[in-house]
Amino acid sequence: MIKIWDRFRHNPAAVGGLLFILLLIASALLAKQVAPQSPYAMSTTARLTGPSAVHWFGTDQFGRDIFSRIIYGSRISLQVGIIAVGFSFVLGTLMGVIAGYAGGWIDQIISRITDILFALPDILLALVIMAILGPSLNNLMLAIGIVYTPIFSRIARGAVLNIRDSLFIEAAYSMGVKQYKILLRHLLPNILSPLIVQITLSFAFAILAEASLSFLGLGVSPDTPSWGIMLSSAKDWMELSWWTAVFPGLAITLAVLSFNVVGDGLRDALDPRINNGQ
Amino acid sequence: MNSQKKELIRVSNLKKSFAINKGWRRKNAQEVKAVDDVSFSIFEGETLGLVGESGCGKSTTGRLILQLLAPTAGTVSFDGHDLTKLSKHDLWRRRRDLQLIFQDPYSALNPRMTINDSLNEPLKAYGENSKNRKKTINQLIDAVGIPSQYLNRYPHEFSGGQLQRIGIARALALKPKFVVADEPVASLDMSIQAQILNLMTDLQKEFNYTYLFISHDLSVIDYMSNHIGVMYLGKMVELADRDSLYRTPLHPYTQALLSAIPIADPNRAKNKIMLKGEIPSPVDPPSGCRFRTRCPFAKDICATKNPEWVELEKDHYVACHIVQEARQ
Repeated sequence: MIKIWDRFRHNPAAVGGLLFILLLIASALLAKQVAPQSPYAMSTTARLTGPSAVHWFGTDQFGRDIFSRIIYGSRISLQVGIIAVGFSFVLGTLMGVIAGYAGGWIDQIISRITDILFALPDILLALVIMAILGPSLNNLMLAIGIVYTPIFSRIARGAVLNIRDSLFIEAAYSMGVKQYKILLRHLLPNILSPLIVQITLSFAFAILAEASLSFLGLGVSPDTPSWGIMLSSAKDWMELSWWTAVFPGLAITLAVLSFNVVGDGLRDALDPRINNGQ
Repeated sequence: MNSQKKELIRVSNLKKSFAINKGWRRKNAQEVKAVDDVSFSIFEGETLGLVGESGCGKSTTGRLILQLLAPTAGTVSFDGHDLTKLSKHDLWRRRRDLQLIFQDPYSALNPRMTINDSLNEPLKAYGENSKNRKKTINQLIDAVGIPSQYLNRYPHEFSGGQLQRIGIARALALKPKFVVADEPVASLDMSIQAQILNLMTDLQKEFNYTYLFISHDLSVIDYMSNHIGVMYLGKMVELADRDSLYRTPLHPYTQALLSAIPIADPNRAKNKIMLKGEIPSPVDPPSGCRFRTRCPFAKDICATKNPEWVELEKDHYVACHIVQEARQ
């Protein structure tokens, strides 16, 4: 553990990304204390005003403070990103490892299920799931999680097939190591790299998917501060008031970028073969 | 064979076939007989060398004995117990006496685990406590000549020779009775080969290990073995003690192999037997004697009848019509 942190520490981009993620988490937890104004308070006199000392990031078409809404919005975006991607990572990896390790008809069944899920367009599939479950934040996360599960399943299965017949797995078995220990200590650590990369990519997609679904009226309600909703409602005003789109867009970009560099840093830190200039 | 010696491993009529091209309709289903009716014994404290071209089934034989592959037919008895009939748990208990040294030591070690973790693993699997593990590992790496400060390094930080010594240390960690060495020096250069072979013989003298030594290199086999078995296309064609095999090879294939060993004497006339053709496909082996398509002495009978496995001289077995006829 200490060794992994030591290697991670030497990657400045990853450390920067981690700091930004910690900042996001802090702002999500302490939104009430940090936000200068209420994210819901409307003002007819201060509609679409540019950035100023009072409204750092300006106001939107209802006169709501964009800075405060972005801080509150980090709650939704982080929640959606972490829970939806966590769900698809755990379920997808489990399915993929079982399919790859067991092979035979179990592999056939799991692979065909992932094929079916793959055949449907992402947003359409999420729409169907949301239509069945009804609009709410929890259902939204579940729907996004299900949509991204087959990606993890397929990557995990491929990686397992690649590693399963390795000599070191046979060696461990021949030395009397139990099956579950082989899975945990030999198989999983060696398939983690592509999965970590996929986690960071999916995180970005999940935030955007939340925005799209909310825009279609299937996510959180439109008055809820969410980066996706802010960005999509800004599209009508951004020609006149650039700040309505730029700041939520910047928040999404920075969050996605941070998760990407942290993911890359983690992948390198976990692989002893990569020397990060120490 | 001295009757006082204890027979540790007895392999009887061992067969293994792999199905290939199996599909839904099994139209093209075929099987490869990788090991076909092989029998031999290995005595405690001795080394049996298995030699043959690549693809002749020598590695498969090693894995069948260790039960890393399930035999299609035949039995493997270890110390009087038939390994093929043991339950999963009983087999697991026996496994600590049966270990394997791999040809490629780098792929046989998990790249994400330190050498220390890799060496600890077999000991942990059989419930050794941490104090004993530490003691055993220090003794082991001392025996194979790896400095203890290297323990926290990863496999990619070692050379091939060092890795193979680590591989040997790991195979011996559980103090096994029987070790299969599957071409342990094939991927190493000459000077390191000698080092590894000497290490293996020294350890054998000290701890009375029994080895099955698999190689395609006759000089290595000569150096290591008490008995030598020659395999060709899934069958054992000749089995004898080392001296008698090298002095009077009976099977034409063994003769051809031995004549191919380079002799470091420019004045000595070379009388090489050149084998014609390629090794046939094991999917569709020749009828009768499998060697007949390349045998310089092949007769009609070789194509029709499978040669019997006969003890022609004391402790010298051979499967060949020509030799057997000549002796009658």
